[in-house]
Amino acid sequence: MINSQIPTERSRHIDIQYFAIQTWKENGDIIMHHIPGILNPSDDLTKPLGWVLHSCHARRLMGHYN
Amino acid sequence: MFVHGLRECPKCPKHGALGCSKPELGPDNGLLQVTDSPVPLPDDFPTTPAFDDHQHLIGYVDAAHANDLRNCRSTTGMPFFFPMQQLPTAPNYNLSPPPAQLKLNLLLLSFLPKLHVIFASSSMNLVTHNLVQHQFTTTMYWPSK
Repeated sequence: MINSQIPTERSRHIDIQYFAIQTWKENGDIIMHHIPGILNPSDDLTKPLGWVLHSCHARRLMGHYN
Repeated sequence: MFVHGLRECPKCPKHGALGCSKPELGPDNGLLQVTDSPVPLPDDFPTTPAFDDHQHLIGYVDAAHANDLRNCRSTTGMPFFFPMQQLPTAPNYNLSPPPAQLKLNLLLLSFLPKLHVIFASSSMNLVTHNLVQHQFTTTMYWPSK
């Protein structure tokens, strides 16, 4: 959605206001990187994880380590 | 041995006695005992990617679709980190409207120019006000054919 300048087949139902993220990327306000889910702490907020990953992400969210 | 309190001894119920029993142990599921120290990660656990610019906000986002089976909503998690202070902000949850509600919104928006024909002019302000107030999510004003 960010890399394409027009609504794609999968993003045509998204409200037009959310396409402002394309402008933010053009202006350099945001930089997007893809990271695997095993490193993504937001996985802990959306999915039921196992004990190891949940402990890793939860303690990182609480600031125990970087 | 844990004392659960004063109760009758199960072996001799006619004598009031202090009942003692062993705590029931759960099955050995191989989990480590939770301690206050950080949990050691596996050796093959990948390291967090380091970003060159450490003066900007770093946010992570992930979504899980249709976790809420009853309301058919997806969940989005967005934690943000201040890298310099090593201080994470409060994680944010966002529930998106269900797909059926989105379709209803679009249908209502498509009918919006014809509302002055469908409804009487005296109730036009009330209808418009309620539509805006309910963010086009209600079927109260669904036009009947």
